[in-house]
Amino acid sequence: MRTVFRSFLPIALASIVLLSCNDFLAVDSKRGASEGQQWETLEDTRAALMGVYGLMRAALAENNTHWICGDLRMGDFTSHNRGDIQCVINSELSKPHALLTGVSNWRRFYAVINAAAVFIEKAPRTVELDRSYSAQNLEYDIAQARAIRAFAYFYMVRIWGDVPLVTYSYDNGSFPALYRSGAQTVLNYAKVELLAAAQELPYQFGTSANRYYGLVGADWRGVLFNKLSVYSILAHISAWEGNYAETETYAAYVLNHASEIFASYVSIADLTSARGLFYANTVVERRGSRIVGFNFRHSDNEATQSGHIEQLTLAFPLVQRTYPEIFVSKDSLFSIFNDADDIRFGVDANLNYYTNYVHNLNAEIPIFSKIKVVQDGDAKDNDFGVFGSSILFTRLEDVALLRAEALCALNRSEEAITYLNVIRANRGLKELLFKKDLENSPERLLNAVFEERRKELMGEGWRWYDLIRRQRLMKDNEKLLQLINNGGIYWPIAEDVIAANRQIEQNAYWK
Amino acid sequence: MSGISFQRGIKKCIVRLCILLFFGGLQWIMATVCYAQDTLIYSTNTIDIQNLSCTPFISVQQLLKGNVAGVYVQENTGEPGAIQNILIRGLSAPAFSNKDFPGVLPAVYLNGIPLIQENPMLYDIKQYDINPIGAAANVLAGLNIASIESFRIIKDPLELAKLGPLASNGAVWITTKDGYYGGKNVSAGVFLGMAFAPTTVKMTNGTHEKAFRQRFYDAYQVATENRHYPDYLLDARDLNYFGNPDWAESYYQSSPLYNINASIGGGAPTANYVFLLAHTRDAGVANETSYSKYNVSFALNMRPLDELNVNTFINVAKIDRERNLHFRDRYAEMEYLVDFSTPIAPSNNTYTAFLADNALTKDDNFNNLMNGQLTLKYTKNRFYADAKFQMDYTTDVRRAFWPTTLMESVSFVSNFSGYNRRVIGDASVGYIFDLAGIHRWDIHWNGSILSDLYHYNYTRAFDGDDDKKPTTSSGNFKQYRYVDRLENKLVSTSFSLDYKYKNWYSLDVLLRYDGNSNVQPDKRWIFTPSFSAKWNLKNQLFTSAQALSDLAINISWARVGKQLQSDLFAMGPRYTSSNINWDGQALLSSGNGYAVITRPYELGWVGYDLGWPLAEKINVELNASFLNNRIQTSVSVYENRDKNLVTQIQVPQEFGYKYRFAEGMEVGNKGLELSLSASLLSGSVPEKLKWDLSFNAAYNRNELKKLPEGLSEIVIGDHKLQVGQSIDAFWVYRNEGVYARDEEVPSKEGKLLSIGGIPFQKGDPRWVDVDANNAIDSDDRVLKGHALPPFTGGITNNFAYKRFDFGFHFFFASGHSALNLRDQQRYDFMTLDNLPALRSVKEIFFWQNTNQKDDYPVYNPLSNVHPYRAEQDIFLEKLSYLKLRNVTLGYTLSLKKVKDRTLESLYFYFTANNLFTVSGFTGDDPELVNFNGAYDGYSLPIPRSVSMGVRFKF
Repeated sequence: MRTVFRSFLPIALASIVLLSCNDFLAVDSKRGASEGQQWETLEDTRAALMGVYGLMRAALAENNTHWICGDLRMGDFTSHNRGDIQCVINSELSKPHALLTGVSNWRRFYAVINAAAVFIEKAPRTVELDRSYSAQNLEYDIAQARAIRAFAYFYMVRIWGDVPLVTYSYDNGSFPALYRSGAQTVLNYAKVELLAAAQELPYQFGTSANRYYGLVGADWRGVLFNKLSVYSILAHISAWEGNYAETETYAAYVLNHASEIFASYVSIADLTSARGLFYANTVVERRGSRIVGFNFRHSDNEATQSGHIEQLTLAFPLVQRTYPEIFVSKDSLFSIFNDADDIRFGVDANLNYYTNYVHNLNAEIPIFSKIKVVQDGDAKDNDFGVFGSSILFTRLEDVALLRAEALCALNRSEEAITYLNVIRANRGLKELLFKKDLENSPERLLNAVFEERRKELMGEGWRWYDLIRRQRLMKDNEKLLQLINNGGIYWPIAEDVIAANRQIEQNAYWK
Repeated sequence: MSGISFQRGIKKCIVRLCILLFFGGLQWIMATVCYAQDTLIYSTNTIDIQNLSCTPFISVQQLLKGNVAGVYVQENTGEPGAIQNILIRGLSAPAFSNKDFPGVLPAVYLNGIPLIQENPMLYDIKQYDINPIGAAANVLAGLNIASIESFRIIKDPLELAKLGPLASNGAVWITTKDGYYGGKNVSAGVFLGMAFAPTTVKMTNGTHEKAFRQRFYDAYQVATENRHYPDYLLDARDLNYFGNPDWAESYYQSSPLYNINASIGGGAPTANYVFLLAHTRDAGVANETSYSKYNVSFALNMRPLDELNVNTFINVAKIDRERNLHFRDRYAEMEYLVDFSTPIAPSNNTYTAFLADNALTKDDNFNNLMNGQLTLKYTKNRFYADAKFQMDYTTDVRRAFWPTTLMESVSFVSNFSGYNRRVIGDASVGYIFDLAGIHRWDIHWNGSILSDLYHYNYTRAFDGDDDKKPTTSSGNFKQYRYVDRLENKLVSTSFSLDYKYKNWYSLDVLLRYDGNSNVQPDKRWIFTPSFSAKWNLKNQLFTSAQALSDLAINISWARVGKQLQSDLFAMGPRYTSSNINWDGQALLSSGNGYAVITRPYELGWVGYDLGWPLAEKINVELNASFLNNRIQTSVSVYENRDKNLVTQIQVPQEFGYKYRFAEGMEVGNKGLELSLSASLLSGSVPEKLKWDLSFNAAYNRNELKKLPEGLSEIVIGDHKLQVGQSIDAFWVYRNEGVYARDEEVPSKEGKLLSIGGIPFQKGDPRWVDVDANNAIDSDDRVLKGHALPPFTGGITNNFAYKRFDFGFHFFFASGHSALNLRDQQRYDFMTLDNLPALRSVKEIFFWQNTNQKDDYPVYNPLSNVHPYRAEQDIFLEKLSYLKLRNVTLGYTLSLKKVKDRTLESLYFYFTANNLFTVSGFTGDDPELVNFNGAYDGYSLPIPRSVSMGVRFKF
């Protein structure tokens, strides 16, 4: 039996050795960062902040949401052989198409909201752990996170109306089932957040003495949310609420301080050239005009095939595709752009036209080519169809026209027309006189402002929301009025969303 | 924690080395007593490799198919060397996509080395569930089939528990020729064969397609302006589309296949070796797909001391695979979609032009496999001990270039280089007490350490300058780079006690303790016990019964942890760098040029408290053999419970996460297996007919027993898991025909039955409103059918007469279904014609009619309800089939003197494979269905082939 003990002693020892294998089993995974590994350095917070921007960009790009929701319903675009897109144009949003169910799922916006909340709650820790991450830097970052979150809420309210209001990250594995909050409650929250963010945010991030993530103002221009980004969103929220006095205040603030962020009205060439405003790495002087925008930098492999209006609008010879998926028909073009001098798309009796917005008018299907950043906008050939155009929410022209709209609504027509005329002048159109051209009619002026928005912002995700604001003011289209009153302007909520949270009720119109 | 303190800074490899040395040292302090222990328990689950070695099969999976009860293998494509799956006793967890399968497959042991298989991380960056990145090869096709000595399927719970967490889904135990034990020391074999292109291909053209659409338009008097025809169907004078379709001659072609193998061995019992060489080429019958492998292996046995045995073997293979030219596979790899509205035309001219464009294509797929082990076995009197060092290393290289002529003038490069590496140190000691031959105790301890590393570098590059510069270094490509690395470590120790009373009863107990790096630190270790009891009735009760040669009953119960495939759960809540992408645009990982970090919103929330999943198995097996073992039968009944599985569950979408992961899912598999092998005619007298028959059949049924947190159902993508139902069921609307008139649509309180708010009309499908809420929604989808067959089996007959032998093998699978997506996509032309999605890609075989019946209801093509959606039971088809797998005719030549040497045996054979299939399936071959039950028609046909060969030893 002694031999037996002699053999079992090593066995016992071996078991102990195996237990010490806890160290051996502690594999340091390269496939993600644990809670302890994140929020330690300045790079971590930068990555997390860029993550919030990235998620917002993804939310707008997925299924081309920005244009599908903004440009199609009752809009100026016609679909070519895309049944799902035709349904959007016809406002038949509950039909069984992957595109429609995809757009009606709001999860992607809540990812932005959650990431912003996680940032706001956890980034303060980094200030203690990394001395190069200053309190000022944290303040800027949190203000941006709050602003993006508020922007996401506004965007959602425009799509779905009432949405659940989540203001905390619940980053502990609890997933409470929340009710939808009233659209106004959500907008109120967004406004409070934006106003707070506006207090913190600068016009420009970083100076040579006090760099922001190692860079100075010009480097961040047209990239991050600054003070005026926030005010222009506030202007849009209040316009959406019909609170035009506030709109006027915010829009005025933006217009008056535009030079602080180097935002200016862009020439038609700068607007429509492939390396113009929509190109992420356009010349620095132009970038400031992207007041709220999300960029795709081709130089950093961020140019993508989907998530750009080019995916929908471009075709041969601009890219290798026979037909575009959506286009503005010739009839629409002729009726919308009714002035031959309009350098966007003025067309005379001999069918001579300005090609800034449109390519190949002679073909059956003209190509809407206002935005055409193929690859980096300077592709050696246009065969590789990835696009680098920014998703632009607002630029100075939009704010000016919004201000004109607000002034009209406030019965300050004479002031309003000046802003309209600034834009018109930039696009080769003659000055409109309130008395002479519009016969002192505030309605006609308001109409002219909306018509100008229609032309200027075509393909930038505005038409549908403009139609609604216009209708709220003008009440001249029974069908749309009815949609506004019965909630038909909102999208249905995806079945997946409702299945996962039974507290969510479908929009009444789509029940 | 231990007496030996390891500092944090010490590298893990040093720890490993120390432990190995410790085990090694352990061997030498072991004392006396001898008894060799045979780890293999009696089992009918072995395969007649002799018979199979006449077939041109190249993979482990192919060899197993239809040969062992309870083992299900389906070749879902005839493309040689493509990935194949094996399931033993059903699905241990839901598997809806290719990525899920590695977690339900058995472990394959080669001479005791658990072979490292592909990790599902190869699918992580893929948007489409078609191929993994890399060479996408079946690693188990890399073995030298001629070197295999025996094949065994391990299903016994206790035996599996002895193998540990890797084998929780069962094990395939392959033993190769490991040395030379006297006899003839040189053997050689060769076969030559041909895989035949299908003889009748029913080709179609534009006229056929147009007529197909016409039916729908006519049935609903669709106005001419609403009759949609894509561009390619508009001009009936276009001979490419409307001419005589003749593409098949260029797409399908018969191809040669061959194998050459040789071995030489030498030595004596104290030291011997065997050296084997083989080269094999297998071929598909379309797109010139092929598979070649070169195998070299060497085994050496030595006995330097009476007590000590040293075994070593090393096995090396090189694999080269030619893959198909399908558009779908290419676009799925590129994830760059172009205009798919015009398919390739069915004329031979067009197809040969396409092939000519392919001339510049490069598509290299290489795998290198290397495995080996060194075993020291020490036995002295009643003590035994062994130490093993095992290693398995596989590399995976893919270099592809597709020129501009193929894809809207965009060229593409794919460079993949990856490796998987497994290293194992294993040691065991045991002691046997034998009390007067009546009571026998065997006490055994085992410890092992396993370390896996999976790694790859991958570059995709688009749009080079010039087709003559097909590399990323020269061609000015837009490049996207990916790297991934996964480590998995498993430490195990086990203690077993086997007790035997006479040769009547035996009782085995196994206790194990496993730690895995893929499990969260506080739950990293799991303790699992297993038991087995055996009663040999023959030895106790029927010793005098002459006709009964053996009768034993064996009950075995085991609990064993399941190896997690990924390290996803190990760190709990985590941050990831790749979640700012969106559907259709994977892999965007920077914002404004900066790396980003977010929570894993796409993948799902991973919390704390995720522990080991584990398998509980019980098996009752009755073995009986009669007439001097001429008839052997085995019946087993089993139930497997796979518990505490982690699954995605739905979460309110208001926190950004698509899912969250939770543990607690339980899957049950029950089944019955029968095996019979009989030597019906013994042929003991020469000149008499010899007839051997073997038959196996199995029934398996899975059921979801439990979901996490008491849930009764969850939806994952297009699948639903419901407690009490099968995990491989299809989730479909029940279809009862068509509404012929508007008045037939039911209504409730004045509201017509509707779907998504759209009321049904004439010409819409009659989907059953299961919950009678007057709306068709996901609650009306029912679970129906099985993707995997409940009944499987096979039968082999071998006859020998004089010098001739003849054998054939049938196998069957029954009771499963497929969702016929190929037909669905044809019928759903209205949706797919202009959809920029991968499923609207049409290959050349879009112009081929399989056995299509076209007897689906005709719906209104302009309907708003998407009438030809895939998830309805009209597309669900029974797949039951019976196949004649192969027929072999052999002849042994009489012995002759050749010069001075004696040619001891010379065996000629002729084999024909895949001769016929009996099935009611309308989509061609019922095996060519994806593992999840979707039939999309993209698979290459499994060829009918013949081969002739000769084997000799001298």
